[in-house]
Amino acid sequence: MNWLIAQVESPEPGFWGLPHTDAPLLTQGFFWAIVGSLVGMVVVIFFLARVPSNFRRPIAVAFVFLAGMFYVLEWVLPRGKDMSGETVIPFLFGSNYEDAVPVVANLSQIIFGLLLALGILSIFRVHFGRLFRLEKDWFFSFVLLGSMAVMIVFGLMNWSLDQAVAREAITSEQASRTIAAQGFQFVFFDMLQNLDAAMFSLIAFFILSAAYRAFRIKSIEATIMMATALVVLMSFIPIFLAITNWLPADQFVGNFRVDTIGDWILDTINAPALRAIDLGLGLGILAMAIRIMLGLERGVSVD
Amino acid sequence: MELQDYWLQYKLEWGWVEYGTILLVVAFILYNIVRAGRGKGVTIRRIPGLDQIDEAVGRATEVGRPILMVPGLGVLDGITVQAITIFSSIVRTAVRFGTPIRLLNYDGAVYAVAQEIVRDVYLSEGVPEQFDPDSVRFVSDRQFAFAAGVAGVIQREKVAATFFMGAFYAESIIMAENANMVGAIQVAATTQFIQTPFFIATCDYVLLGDEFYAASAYLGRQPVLLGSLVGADWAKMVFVMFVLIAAIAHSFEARTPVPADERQDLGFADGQIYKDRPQLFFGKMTKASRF
Repeated sequence: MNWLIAQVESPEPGFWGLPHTDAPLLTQGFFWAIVGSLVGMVVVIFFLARVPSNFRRPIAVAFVFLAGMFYVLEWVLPRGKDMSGETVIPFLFGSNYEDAVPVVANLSQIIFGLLLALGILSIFRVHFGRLFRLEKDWFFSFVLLGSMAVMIVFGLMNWSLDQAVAREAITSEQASRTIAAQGFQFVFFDMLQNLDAAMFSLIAFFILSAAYRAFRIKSIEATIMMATALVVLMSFIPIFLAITNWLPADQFVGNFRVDTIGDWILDTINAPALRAIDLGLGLGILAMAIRIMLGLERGVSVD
Repeated sequence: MELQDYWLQYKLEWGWVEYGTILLVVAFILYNIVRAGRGKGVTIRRIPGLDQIDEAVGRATEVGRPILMVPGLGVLDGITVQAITIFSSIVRTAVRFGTPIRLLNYDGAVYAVAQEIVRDVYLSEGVPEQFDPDSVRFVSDRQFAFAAGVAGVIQREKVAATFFMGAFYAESIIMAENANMVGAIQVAATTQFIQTPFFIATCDYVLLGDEFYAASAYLGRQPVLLGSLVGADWAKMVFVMFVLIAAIAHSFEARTPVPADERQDLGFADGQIYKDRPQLFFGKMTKASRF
């Protein structure tokens, strides 16, 4: 959730953003904008529910097309601001097209934030069900739900402490001595982050076991791959570098130094292959985006 | 500043290469979509990873264990939608065979959409009562907590087949190696090409690059969608030709001595007879197109 909030940008005051004030909530434009948006959303959902089913898809496709075109236009239209950030080409009621981008991006973040609640409901349904029915591994569900509750409680308490520090009600030193801060330190930094690191460290062992299987000589391709991998590995290991270091780098025989061969493999074979895959991915996503925007991508389940 | 000056600044910033290329590719794709829509036969090569889906689901049915699908760590974007589209096809096959499924999610929005799509598949197959809401789960939105959760499901339920498709990062090998430990048949595809070697080392079949985006067209066999794949292939051919021409022309120009009377204009150092990389035609075209 934190990264969702972190991505939300405040639009600049203007058509897309209202000035930030400390006025009472009911007198602020943004409050009524939120109320209006909610009412508008209900009206749209009601409208879609009443529309004959054969019209729903064209309406949804039209929305998708417009949403897609919004970002296409961002790329195609000339920049509305010069290098110093001054507006030079106003669009849309004297405002700037670029100012609309964070607003639309925020809309997506709000929707994603609401949907996160559905995810938490999923966790509750699966694990409370297992716990109450005392199914196999119910204890793990108990640990998960307990950990979740502890993290939420300490997280909220720590957040309220941060607010108090921001209001200068207490100093940060006083805040750090409270049970809430100590508890948060323990469950988040001392436990969760270390558990993350422990999972991350497993990767080294998994890479080793995967590499062992992949490099077994079963075919010509596997043999070539193993030989290539060995050369590249050797080009990073000092003892193997020392074997060919006596070859002068600026002469023809310098081409046979292990580090030169390793660099050549990485730059001349590996990099172009990765770029080719990247190019294919770019073309693939472009083709898919066109299919989605034109409403052609119905999914293979709708056949 | 006049409007044409803004356009000049704009062109300096973005160059014309990007626009020209994107427009060309879009034209190729649209033309082939229209061509396929008019009934022109379109054939594409086989993609082994997608052909193995039925076999993998069949094997899971034989051993009576579930199949596992993971749409990666992406948010609800084109990549994840594509993964879920492929999964809907896999779920359809699983429903027909009566094979249990597990679809584990990292993102709340993806979870909500995936659950509705899976429910729709059961409904369209006429067995809505067989849909288990717990078969589509949200695990965690922390990378390694998610990896631990997926690894736990793999080990506890001894899944018979796994499908890892979408945006994967460092956790890819943790999940794939756990599936390997339980002997699952694995099909993977990722848009993070740095992770592709890990999947190649651990999985039975891997969709490379744009094969992932071709999957919905390939599995659905709808001619119009296949047309878009042909358009992308045309673009690839143009790029390959461009690379070949650029490599030859670039090498030739880089090794052609510049006449003595032109060297001063180009700002050559004493004794320099060849152009530097930024002074070459293709160097200028590709490098100087941005600020």
